[in-house]
Amino acid sequence: MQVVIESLYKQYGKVEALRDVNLQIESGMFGLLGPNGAGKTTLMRILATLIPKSAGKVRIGPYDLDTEPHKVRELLGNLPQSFNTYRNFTAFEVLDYVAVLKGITDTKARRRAVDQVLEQVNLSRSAKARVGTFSGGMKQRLGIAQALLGNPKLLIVDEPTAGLDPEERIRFRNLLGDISRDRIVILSTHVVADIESVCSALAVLNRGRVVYTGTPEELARQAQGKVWSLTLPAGEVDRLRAVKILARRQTAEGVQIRCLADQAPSNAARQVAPSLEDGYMVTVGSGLEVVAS
Amino acid sequence: MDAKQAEIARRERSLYVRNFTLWLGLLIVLGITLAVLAAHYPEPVELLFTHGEYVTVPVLLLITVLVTTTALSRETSEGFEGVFHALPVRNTALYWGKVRGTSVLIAVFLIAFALMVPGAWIVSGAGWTGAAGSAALMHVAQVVSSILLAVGIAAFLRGAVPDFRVRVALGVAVVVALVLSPRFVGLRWGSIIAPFVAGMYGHSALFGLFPWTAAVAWKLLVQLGLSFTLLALGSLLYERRRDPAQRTPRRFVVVVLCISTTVLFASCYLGYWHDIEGALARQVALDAQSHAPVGVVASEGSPEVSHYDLLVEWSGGHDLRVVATVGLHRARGGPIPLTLHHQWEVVSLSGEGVSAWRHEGNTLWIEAQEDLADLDITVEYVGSPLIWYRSVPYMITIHFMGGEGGLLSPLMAWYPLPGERPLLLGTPSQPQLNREPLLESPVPFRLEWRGPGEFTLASSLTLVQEQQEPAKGRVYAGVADGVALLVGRMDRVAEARLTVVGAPSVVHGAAALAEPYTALVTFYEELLGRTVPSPSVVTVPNWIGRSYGTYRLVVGPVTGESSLTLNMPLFGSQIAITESDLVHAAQQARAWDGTRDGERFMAATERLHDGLRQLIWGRPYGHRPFTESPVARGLAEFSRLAWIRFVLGDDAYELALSAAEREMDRPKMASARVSDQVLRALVDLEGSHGPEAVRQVLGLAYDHMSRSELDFVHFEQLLAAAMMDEPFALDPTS
Repeated sequence: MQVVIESLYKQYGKVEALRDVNLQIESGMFGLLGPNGAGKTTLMRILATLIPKSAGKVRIGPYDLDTEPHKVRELLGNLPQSFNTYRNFTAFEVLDYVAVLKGITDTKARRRAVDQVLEQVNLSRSAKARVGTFSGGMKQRLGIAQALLGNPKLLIVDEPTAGLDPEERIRFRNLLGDISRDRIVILSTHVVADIESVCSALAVLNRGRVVYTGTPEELARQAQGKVWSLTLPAGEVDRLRAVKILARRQTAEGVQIRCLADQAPSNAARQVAPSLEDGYMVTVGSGLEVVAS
Repeated sequence: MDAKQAEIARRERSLYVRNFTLWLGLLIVLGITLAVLAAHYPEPVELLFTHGEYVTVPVLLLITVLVTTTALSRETSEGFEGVFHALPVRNTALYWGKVRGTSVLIAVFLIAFALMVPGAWIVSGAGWTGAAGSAALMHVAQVVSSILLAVGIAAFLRGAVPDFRVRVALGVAVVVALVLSPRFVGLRWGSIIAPFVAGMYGHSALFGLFPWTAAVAWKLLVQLGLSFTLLALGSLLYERRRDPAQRTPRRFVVVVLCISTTVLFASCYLGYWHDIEGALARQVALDAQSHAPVGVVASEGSPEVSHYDLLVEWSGGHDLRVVATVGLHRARGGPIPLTLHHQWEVVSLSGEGVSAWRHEGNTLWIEAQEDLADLDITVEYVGSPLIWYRSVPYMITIHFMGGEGGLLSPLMAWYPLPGERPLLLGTPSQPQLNREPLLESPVPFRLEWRGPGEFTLASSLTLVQEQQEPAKGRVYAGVADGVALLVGRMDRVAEARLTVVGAPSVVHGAAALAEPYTALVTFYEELLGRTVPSPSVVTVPNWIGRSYGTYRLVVGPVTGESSLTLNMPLFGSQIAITESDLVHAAQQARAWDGTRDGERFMAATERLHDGLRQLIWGRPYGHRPFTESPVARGLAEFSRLAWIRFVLGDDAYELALSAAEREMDRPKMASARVSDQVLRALVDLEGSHGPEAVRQVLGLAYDHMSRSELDFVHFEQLLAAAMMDEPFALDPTS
């Protein structure tokens, strides 16, 4: 199965949230990177049939999004940004409800399916607890559990690790990696580390446009030869020209910086291997501390 | 209904029940309802709900709209929308599953209100009647249709408006607009969409919804149609928002059908009133016709009536048969005009010397031998009396007979009145009942009533013979200026000087009024030095009281200033009081019994006092308001002040007297100045010569008025005699 997006436009009033987006997504984990406001959530919501598009075509498997939204929904599992659910229901009740709405009408089969996903997300012991008592991480796991019900062929996961602590984040990434084996999982995030460990392909959105599609390795290579590391006395950092500082750390020897520049910013600088984040920064070029030339 | 829709409905119901807002809202609605009812009269069940409706229904609507809007947007507020709307559930199942989930709202509110019915019955302490059953049923129907309307509004907004806060604000605005609609678009159009049902038409403890049952039914259907139209529209709009590219022609057809059906019901409702408007216009056109100048009892050529002998037969239903024998005396020849309402069909007319007759409009013309000055004519006529009246802003019946009984008023000429008489005055758009004297002076009446035994009769005449054989009826007799009949399944409560007649649930508990009323009558007997009759107190539905004019003495609580408005001489020598007023009076009497508080005592006797005042000072006329006689007004005002002193003491009396004196200083018409002079004279007489002198004047005035109206000249003679401490008797013929 694949997801094909052709010339997708989405306009909110005068604001173009998506402009001429073209993507073809195959099975496995597909990452969608971009800064805040890039249009990632808009794209995800369109794919999840939550909002209409302004123009373009989207096919999910054999179905057209416009004419067969109900068929598309049968293939879907959706974990939106900031997942939440009925506070007064228990985890089991929520999943049981979703299972019925996904068409699992047989009581025994439904029970098995719910128990299975609870096990998968490690919430079996909290099945009878009210959702209102859950932590953020538990809610996210519940969210992925409901998305997995019905064995969807397409899983849309929007910013799943936002607000999670590092341990939860790692656990979540591993879970996503496990479930992406025989389905399409589209993972939207602005946290590069989420993509790095699990995605086999990705796209970068910036200001409504796709500015990159390919593998994570190729994205990292966008910054090849442009990433430098050096240590300077604190007062000299400001004298650097034409650099984008990626990171700075205070050490005993001075300020250790990692930066982007077309050429070595100083004699003390040494070139380092670019990371995915470096390649992302080169691609979108935003949110950095910039020392003007 | 598919499994998913059923599951959504089931979960919604569960979520509603777990929702704190629903129970809080229910408490608020019940609390406000009970507070309104407690603040109002503790009326019998059939009146209890209609008076509380104007507060209860808007609150119920508001609460339901808010709860339903919140529930329909539950996924948004719970943060579950992104999941919920991406599920493979059809728009129909999603939408209607949620709507069906609101059935728990109906169940919860219905159970609460259903429990209120017996609760209200127990609290009111009233008996249960057929009217109570229909009132309870109607109230339940009102609650259900209001809730459905609220759900329809919320569901429509769910489909039409994306933003939750805007939906809530609009929902509140829509409810307020519906409630206030009659004020802005007029009663006729506003009443279609306003959520009130029965309250607009005036439920009666005696007659139930008669005769507006059809209007109530159409109104409920309009409300239901509107609810389903909103639901259908909401579904269509919801689908458009969720799947804009999807088009379901069937849904569009359903919307069109709902709109058409609602419009049809609304047309039937409007048609009902349109027909009545037509009937009213035709009645007004005929009833306002007359060749007689206004204010003249008898037109030229009119005979005088010497006696009446009436036989009235009623077998239940709308039809009556009357045989009226009228004794006539005429001063001149020519055709004899009598007024008999055009709704009666004259079957036969006979009498010595009668050669021909015709019934044109409201006038019955009789040709008789020219040299016959005195003759008795017997008229047999049948008909279905049903007369509408425009009592701003409603159209109501004021004279009718139906399956549950009825009311016949002499003002509507249900038996022949002398001369040509316009029954209505004023303009066709604002007609007024003609309250000019029916007869020059009271005459003997004999009335035989034959009707089903389970119905009782209240008449302005005195009962002289009870029904003894099936073929014989009840016979009433007396000397009066007119005869009114009230027929219904009534009870009678008699204790001490008080006799109350009316709907069983209304008169139940009226015995509490016996002591205050007896005190009132005794007060007048001591004031006048005469025995005052103790007629029955006849309770009539509120809307009848409204249409014949409710006379009230309104006294400002702080200044003590008073204003006398109309009085209700509906039953001649009997006191007429509305159902609500009687129940309120009984409540005040019970409260007084516990506290012996003077204000409570005044409140308990207030309406009865209005009627007794009419009885005493309206003489010799039973059907003419005493307020139209300046001298009678002055006498009544003096007796009112004396009553205040009797009950509340000298301080209250001084306050009331000061207010009355301030009133006297205001510029006014000549007749009102005469009233002031009478009052002033009596106050001064009491001050100079003491209460015995006043008793003498009042007693003689009372005696005079039993035969003819007392004018100011005669009153001054009485005063002069009392001042000179001379025995005096007025010659009423001088």
